[in-house]
Order: sequence, then structure tokens, then C-alpha cells
Amino acid sequence: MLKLVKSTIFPAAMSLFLAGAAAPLFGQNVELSLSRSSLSFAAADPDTTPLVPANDTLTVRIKVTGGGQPQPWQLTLRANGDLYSLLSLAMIDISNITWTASPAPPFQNGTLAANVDQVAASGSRNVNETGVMNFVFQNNWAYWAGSYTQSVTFTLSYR
Amino acid sequence: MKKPIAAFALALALAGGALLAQTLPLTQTLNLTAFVNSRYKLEMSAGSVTFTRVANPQTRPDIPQNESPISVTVKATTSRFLIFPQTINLRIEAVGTLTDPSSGTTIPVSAVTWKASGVGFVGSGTLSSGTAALLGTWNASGVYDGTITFSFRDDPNYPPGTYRLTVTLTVGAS
Repeated sequence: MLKLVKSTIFPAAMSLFLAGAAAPLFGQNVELSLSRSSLSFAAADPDTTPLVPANDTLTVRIKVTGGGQPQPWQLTLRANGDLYSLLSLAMIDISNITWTASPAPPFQNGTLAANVDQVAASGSRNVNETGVMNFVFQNNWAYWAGSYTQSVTFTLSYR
Repeated sequence: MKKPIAAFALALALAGGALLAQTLPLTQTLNLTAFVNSRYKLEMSAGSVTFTRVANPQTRPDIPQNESPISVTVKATTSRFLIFPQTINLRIEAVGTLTDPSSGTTIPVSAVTWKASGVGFVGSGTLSSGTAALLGTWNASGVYDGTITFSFRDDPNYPPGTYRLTVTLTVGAS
């Protein structure tokens, strides 16, 4: 009797356990991943390179599947401040960084803003998509020389 | 015997979903770095000016250049340490003297003066050979536009001829 229980209930339980990890019974299967954790913009002559492309494209994978009724979702980018140079105590407005993204929809182009969410993708149904984002930096003679840094938080959430 | 085991199995299954599955919102961080180098550029609307002597000068008239004022644009991205900026300087310097190649006759470069206008430009000055005179100065990165007009102070004692002089304008930081 005990052997019968082991052979039927425990395997079933383990199956449910593993399935739950990938697709929870009472939720959706969600994923947000970036192809890299950093991007940089090389120094350039503002006259010849008014828009400086980032050193690489960013691939963003978003997944919102399973569960019950599909819910509207969105991917937002929030710059955690302006670009900042520690050595010169100088800042560059983060809005000088813009991006183009595809495929559209669900992805969309945008401009970074300090401490304000900017929508980069959105939808009202399940999604399992990989997007490509290209960031560019608006060059300007008026900047102070230096290395400017800032972090950007990508958030995949329900609307 | 079956009920406790079944309940445990169900709890285990639910725990699997609750503990291992991710739920919204999800976040990821991207770090951005923008590099800005010091660089300087000088643009001028013309590369030469000429002066024409008034016939038989009896005095020492200041003869303005024949051409329109030269537009000068200084473009500079400079650095600063903490709040202490480097100063951007535009300097002007004559190379040699006014010389008539056919006769070898020379005229001192101090015969040539200039007047400049524009934010940060020094109003006026006299050319000097071997010494760079300050033509403009600024304390922040940016693009600065101005004009410069040269004049030649004639002298009846200067022999007729065609005199040439090279003048160098240099932008940099100190």
C-alpha cells in the first residue's frame, strides 16, 4: 500500500513542483533578461558625430505567459538620475540618451528621463518576445570632459 | 495513510510554484557610461586679408583690411577638476615680419593691429612676433563666435612693395 502511494503521488508531486517553477499554478510565467549589464558611448567630435551610438546593441527578452486571464503589462526604463562625472562634479542631462527599439509593437522608441519611468514596451496579451534596443548619446561641445555614468532600471510589470 | 501524503504532495507542488517561480514586477539594471574627451577646434571664414595703401600718405593712417571682418568660431570641450575649470585661450602670433620678398624690405609686425568682438574675445591688440597675444578667453566648454578685423598703420617711410606676413591663431587650454 505504501509502495503504491510512493509510486503515484510522489512522482506527481515532483512533476507539479517542477512545473510550478516554470509556470506557477496561480500566476504567469514571466521573464526579463538583458543581453548585457552595461553600455558605453565613446568620445567623439560633436561636429562629425553629433549622435554617438552605444558600443553594442542591447537585446531584451520579455516573457509574460501562462496563468489565467492575460493582464496588460509594460516594460519601463527609469534612469536613476542624470549622467554624472565624479571627477569634475559635472552632470549631463540623461535625456540626451535616446533609444530605438524593435520590433514595434510591443517595443517602442524613447528618451531616458531622470527618476521617471519611460515605457519601452507594452501589451495587453501574453508576450514572449526578444527585442533589440539601440541607444545613442547626443553629443555636445558644451559638455565638460570626463567619464559620466548612470544606471537604468528596467522593470517589467503589470499596468 | 493516503490523505496526509497527498496533502503533503500538493503543498510541495504549490511550494514549487511559489518559491521558484518569478512574478511581476521584474527588474534588471543597465549601467551606462559616456566618455567625453577634451578637444578644441578653430574655424575662420577667411585665411587671408589685404591692405591697400592710400596714395602718397603724408601721415600714418590706419588702413582697414579690404575684406569683411573675419568670423572666428572657437569650439572647445575642456575639463575641470571638481569645480576648477581649465581656461580656454585663443592666441594670436605673427610669424616673422612683414616682408617684401622681391626687395627683402621689412616692416615691423607692430604695424598691424586687430579689433575683435564677441563674448570672451579681447577687444583689441597689436601683433607681435614671437609672443602670442591673447585674443580670447573662456572658462567653460562651448561654442564661441566672434569677429576680428585687422588694420595696417601705414608710414610714408615704408617703401612701396607687396609685404606678406603669416599670422597664427591657436586655441588651447591652460
